[in-house]
Amino acid sequence: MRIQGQVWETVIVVTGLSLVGSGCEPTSVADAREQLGRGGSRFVEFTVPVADTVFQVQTLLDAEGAVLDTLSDGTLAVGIDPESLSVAVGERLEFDDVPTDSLVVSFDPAVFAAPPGTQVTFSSSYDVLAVGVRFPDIDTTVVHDGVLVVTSKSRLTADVEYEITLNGFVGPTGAPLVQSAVIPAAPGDGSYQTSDLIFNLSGVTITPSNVRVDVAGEATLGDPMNPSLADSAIVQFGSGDVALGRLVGRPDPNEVPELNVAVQEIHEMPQRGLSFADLEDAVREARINSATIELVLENESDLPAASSDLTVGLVQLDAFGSVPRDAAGEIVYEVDSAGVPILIPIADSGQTTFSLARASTMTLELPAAPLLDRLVNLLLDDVRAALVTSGRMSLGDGNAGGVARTDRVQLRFDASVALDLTVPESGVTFTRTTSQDGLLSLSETNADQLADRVVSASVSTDVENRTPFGVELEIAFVQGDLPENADVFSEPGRVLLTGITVDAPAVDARGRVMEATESTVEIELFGQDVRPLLTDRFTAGVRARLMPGAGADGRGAIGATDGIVLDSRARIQLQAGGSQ
Amino acid sequence: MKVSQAAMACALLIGVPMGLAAQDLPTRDATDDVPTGYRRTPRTRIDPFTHILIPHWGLVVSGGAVAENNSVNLNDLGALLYLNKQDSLRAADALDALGLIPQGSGLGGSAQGEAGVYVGGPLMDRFAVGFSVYGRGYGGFAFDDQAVALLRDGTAGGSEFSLGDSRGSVLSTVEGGVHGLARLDGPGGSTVTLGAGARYIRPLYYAQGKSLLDNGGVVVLTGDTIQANIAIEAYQTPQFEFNQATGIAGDLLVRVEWPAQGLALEGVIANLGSVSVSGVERRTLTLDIETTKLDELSGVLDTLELAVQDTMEVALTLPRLVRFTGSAWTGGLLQLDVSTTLRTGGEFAIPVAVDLGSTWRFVQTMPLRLGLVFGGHQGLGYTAGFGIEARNLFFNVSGGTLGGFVRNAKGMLARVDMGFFF
Repeated sequence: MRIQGQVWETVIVVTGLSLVGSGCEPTSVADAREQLGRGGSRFVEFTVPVADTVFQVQTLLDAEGAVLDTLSDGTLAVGIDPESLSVAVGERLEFDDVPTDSLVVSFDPAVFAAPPGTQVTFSSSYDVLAVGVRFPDIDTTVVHDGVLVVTSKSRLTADVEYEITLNGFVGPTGAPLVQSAVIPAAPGDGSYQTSDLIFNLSGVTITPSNVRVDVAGEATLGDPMNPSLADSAIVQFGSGDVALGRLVGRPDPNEVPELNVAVQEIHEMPQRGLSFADLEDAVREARINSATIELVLENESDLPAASSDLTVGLVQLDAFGSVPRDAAGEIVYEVDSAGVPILIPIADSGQTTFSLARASTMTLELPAAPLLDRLVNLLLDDVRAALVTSGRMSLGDGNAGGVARTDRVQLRFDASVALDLTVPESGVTFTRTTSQDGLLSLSETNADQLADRVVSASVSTDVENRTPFGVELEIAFVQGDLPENADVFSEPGRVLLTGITVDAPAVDARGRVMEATESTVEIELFGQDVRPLLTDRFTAGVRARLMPGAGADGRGAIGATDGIVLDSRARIQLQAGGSQ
Repeated sequence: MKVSQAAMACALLIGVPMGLAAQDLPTRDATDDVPTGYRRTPRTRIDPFTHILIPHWGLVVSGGAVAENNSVNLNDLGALLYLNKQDSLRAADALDALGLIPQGSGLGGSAQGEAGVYVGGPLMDRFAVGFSVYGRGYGGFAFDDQAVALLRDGTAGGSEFSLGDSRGSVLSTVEGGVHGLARLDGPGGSTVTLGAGARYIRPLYYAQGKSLLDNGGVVVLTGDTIQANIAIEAYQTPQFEFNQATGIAGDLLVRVEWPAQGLALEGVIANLGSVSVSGVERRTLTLDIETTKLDELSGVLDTLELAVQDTMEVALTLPRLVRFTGSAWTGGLLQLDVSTTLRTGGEFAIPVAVDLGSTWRFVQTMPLRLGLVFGGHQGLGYTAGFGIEARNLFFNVSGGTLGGFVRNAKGMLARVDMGFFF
């Protein structure tokens, strides 16, 4: 027979104790407690960790997945996810309303006296698109999209058949563009009849050095015409719109205005790229003194790019993502405290322009504290915001090169916000909430009873302040397991500990901590104050208020190791025994 | 209350006999008919030779146990049971109860018990033989004061704690034995009784727990850090069953009696030998943590378990029993006995105990017994008993409280014997 040992033990122990103990039972709960308290009076002391928190800025931010960087001076910086935008300079190379030379054909009035049926012919050549002016030093151009409209007028009383050959305009077949048309006979009163020939230039390769219009036409005389119609009998002119697909040559923006393109790119900044974790409130309330945008520019074209007025600014977007504009249609930028639009010039340090060599990349460090301070605040306030890159860029410098329609100038914004803050006089506050096990994991009844045994209790808090600011701390704890976002300080039944202050450390001229300060504060607890600490779970909240320090005009640069180390523990002394 | 109880006991044991002597007590012949077997005492503790000296063939069924601790008395136990029954047992009560554990001593306790059947009797005039089958149990535990202090005093007395020499063991056996004795004539009219026996032992259950680390490891509670490095090793047979391993234990008795003078001296050594227990699972538990968070400690504690490491055979030294007894009697009326059971070491440690007993035979075959117990875990104890020693019937019941009088006792002992003779 196999009997579990534990069963035997249990049966034996329970039976034995019951038999023995039942004969010695007291008659009341009070008597029973009196009996158990017959041991000598003694104090039982326990220490309960109340809050053991390290407000190390780097750790706080790390925990929230923020992109951190340490600047060369040791200041901690929070990175904003890089954002890219591109300026499609190739697409902006458009030549609109480019006129051709005009052709005027006059006849010898004697020709009109010829018998009916006599054929009169004419032919000529002239420049197209005034390429000598508009396309200087351009070897070839491939048209992405465009048309050339040639208008022909005649006041002859006979139909005029004509043909136009666009030499230097080579279509996909490799042949010059050729079209013909008929100008209807005019009434003979001196007025003109008109005929338009529309050349589709899409995909056409233009070689400016070869371009000529060859025109040839004929008319069959009918009834005799008024000799006065012979002068300027036929007139031809035209204009074109060309969007380039590719351009090769030695373009010079000083000679070709179309090589100076207007830029206005708007890029909304997503909130996902920004996280200050528990420091959000602090950053919102403080002023950011140092922030940079690392702007990486990449020129994809084979022409150098330059700008003298390109800026980056900040706008609020409305719910539909639209950019605010004034009555004149101008963008309404965010402004600084003086009401001046916050516009950061995109230029080399100390310069007002930048030049970007062909097919190259360059990086600019743009000091952008006001802009990013405003951007951070907008994003933290859940306001949609966008960076606006605006100005003009020019392509080419008169040297050989080319640009295609797909060529762009890429701009990548890599912003980081240094935690170089100036906190307001009222300070900035952030909180931390943690739940933890109580000392004895007691039920409420047990906790009540034990709390009545408290002889003395106090909370001792050690604080090490390694931030450039003064610190005022409040600690609250309450029974229960509250979520991290709970506000313990407003919970009913909370126990609030105040008056824990630590002076600001000495800082250097740039607001960096030179040596941490420390403080130990002991706060007495009374009666049922300790009750939450004895229960199964309690939740403690720590509220830290950063106050301006005396040095560096209240400015503080938070280093990678800066933070507040707080160790708060309760010492609880209970009375036990001594009832007899 | 304690004083009055003690005074009563002393009066019974010392004052009354002296007073009786002063008033020319009725006496009986020192060579009365009380057999040696019935003069042997004590009747309350484990003794493998208890019945073999009985001068009749027959069968004796008997059982006895002794259990004690150093902290909780019967009133305390009653209070705990009462509060539990009233659903009023609170943490504060536990805190008070922990205060019952004496500072510096830790919590300790021990127990021994037996129950079984004896068959035997005399052979000729000078010999006797007996056969017995008994179930026996031995248990002992000690929580080192360094460990108890953590719960009892918190950090009031210090910040460093340890399991120290905390341990606990339980062994349950079934034993079959044969014992014999020879009675010789000694010098000066004395009678020398020599006894010897052996028991074949089959373990039923064994468990043991102790610290695996030297000095019991360490637990340090500072204001902001909890550091613990402790390890526990436990041995346990998984089932309560006949174990395949066995053991042999030997018992020896020497008793010299001077009937004419009413004196006897006796020595008993029992449990010479060892026993093996097979199939013992060895389990270990290790806690090595340094943290500032109670949560982290709780999390680790939740995952702790005594994990089986291996299964092995364990050789145990049985709790050695060494007892010396001196007896004196005046005629048939009164017998006084002083018996010292030496301290037992090892897993089933029992402190030294001195039993001072008196046997009153107002009716020769119906002895009344009163006694005191010194030593043990708590010092003073009280015993009492009653017997019937008829030709065909033997009955003995005795009991006592240890470490206090009745409800204030922190231990008890009891024994019942019932014999039938041919």
